[in-house]
Amino acid sequence: MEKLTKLGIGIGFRQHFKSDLFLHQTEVDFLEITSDHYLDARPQKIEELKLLKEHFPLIPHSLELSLGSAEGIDEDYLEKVAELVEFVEPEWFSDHICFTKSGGVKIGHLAPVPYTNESLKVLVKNISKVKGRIKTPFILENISYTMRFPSSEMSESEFITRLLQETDCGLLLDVTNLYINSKNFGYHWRGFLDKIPLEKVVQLHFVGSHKHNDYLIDAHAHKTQDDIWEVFREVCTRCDVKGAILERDENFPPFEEILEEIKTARNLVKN
Amino acid sequence: MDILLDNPLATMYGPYFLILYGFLIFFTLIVLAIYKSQVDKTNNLSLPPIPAQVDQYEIAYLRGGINEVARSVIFALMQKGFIEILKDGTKTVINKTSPPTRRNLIQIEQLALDWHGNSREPKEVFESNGLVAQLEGYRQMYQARLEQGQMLTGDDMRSSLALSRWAAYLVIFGFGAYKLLASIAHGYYNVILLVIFSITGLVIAASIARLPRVTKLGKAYLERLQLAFDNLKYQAQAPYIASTVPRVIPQQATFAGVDPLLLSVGVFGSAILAGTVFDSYNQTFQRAQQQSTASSCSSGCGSSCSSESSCSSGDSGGSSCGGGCGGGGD
Repeated sequence: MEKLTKLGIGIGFRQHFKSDLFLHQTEVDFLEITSDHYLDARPQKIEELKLLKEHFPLIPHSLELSLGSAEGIDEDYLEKVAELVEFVEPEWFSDHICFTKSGGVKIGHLAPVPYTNESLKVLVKNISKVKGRIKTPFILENISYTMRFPSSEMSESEFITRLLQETDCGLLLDVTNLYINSKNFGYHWRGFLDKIPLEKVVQLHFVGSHKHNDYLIDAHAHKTQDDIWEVFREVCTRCDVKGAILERDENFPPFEEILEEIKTARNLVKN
Repeated sequence: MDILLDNPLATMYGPYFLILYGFLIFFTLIVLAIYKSQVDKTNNLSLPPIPAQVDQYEIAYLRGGINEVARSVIFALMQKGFIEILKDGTKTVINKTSPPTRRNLIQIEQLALDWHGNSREPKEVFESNGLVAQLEGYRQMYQARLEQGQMLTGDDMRSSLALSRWAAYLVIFGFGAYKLLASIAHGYYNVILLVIFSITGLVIAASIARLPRVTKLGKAYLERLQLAFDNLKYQAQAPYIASTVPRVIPQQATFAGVDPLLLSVGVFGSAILAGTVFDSYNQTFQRAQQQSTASSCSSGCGSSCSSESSCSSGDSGGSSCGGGCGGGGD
């Protein structure tokens, strides 16, 4: 993973920002595209993808590989992701440590897996299939969750550590998810960082969290708060981050605000 | 001389000759069309990237020539509050307002403002001594730059088609004229169909031999710009959508140093102003363009996008290449 090119700081591509991106090309280092938006795409979306590819380094980020599904990987979906990755020629591509399908039915949500040896085996098997088909480095993202399985046999950090060791994948560390989980489940994010193999961290995700009742939610709709910048800063001082993506999906601010956040992140990565 | 008037072609029965001539014209036109399609090889070139610093006037020039630039500049002055369009009875005039400052005008806009003075009629913008004449320096600069980038059809492309064009004319006219003379020499004067065939063939050949003003590369580049900025169009329009409820129109907002509505007009044409508070501008300039074109140039909207229009403005293509002919094909 250390051989991967440093991409810098970018944003998750959203239609809302398209024009702004072209007018601020020099201030955004790379884009993360949601793979699912370009699978079975209309010709106009393919043109858009070509346009983006010619102006920015792209990283495909998929949602539906459902690596934690015991039924295995949907081969049609994998084939489409493979074709997309071949077209985009990215430095790496990513998906989540979760399941999004059960019994062939999409559940429309990134659901956490129980941290058991059995789920670890399922993930390793599925990831091995993905890596067998797509040779581009594959990185895995930690998700935020609202429940933990009582049947879990290990902690999340131990589960992720073993998963990364057994699959030789990189980690897409979502610092917002880490912060949210640590607050919602009463542990310290620093302790989590102490336990995972930080040399495996390739990319970061960051965005502000949202408080709903007593819970924090990863709504992708708010400016990154100081507490989350603190996690970001700590990660940057402890590992060689190749790229960081601001994930903003709703409640879009003026693009200047996005650029400010990118600038802040860039300074933290440099320092 | 006998062989000239006494050979199978000269003595061929008229209707048979017309069938043969029809096929010959058709074949000539097909060859000409195939040759023309080979002249513009710019589709093999890679598209240039979208620059971070976009010049909306250069895009407007690519899309529709100097008339489109003039329209965009006038709109910029209007949107920035330097001029306004007023109805004086049946007459529409563009009057100067009293703006607080000239600081946010760029050079081309200042030039247009200086030309404008206190009052002008919209059609004056397009007249031979109007704003388009004042913008001649910009026309030359944009033309040279875009020709160099192979986005506009240059003299090299035109000259490479010239030989085939004249060859086609010669074949169509030559056969027709020869048969006409031979028929008259043999005392046949019912040659009206032959004349109609010749003229029709020549007109179609002239139409086919007309190269588009914008090359395939230029067209693809425009489409790429329109794809890149398509959401800007809606974002820029939104604050200006006409409403019966009184509201404050926002002050000019910048967008990476570019006003989004001005950039949208440059990229998509003034047709995007339909339904906004600037609709009067849109309508006024459609009329002005038509009046000016009618008085100085016989070519209509249908002949836009051609580099060989007889229009004295020397700039054709109009916004039929991008934003709809209503915007005024030059």
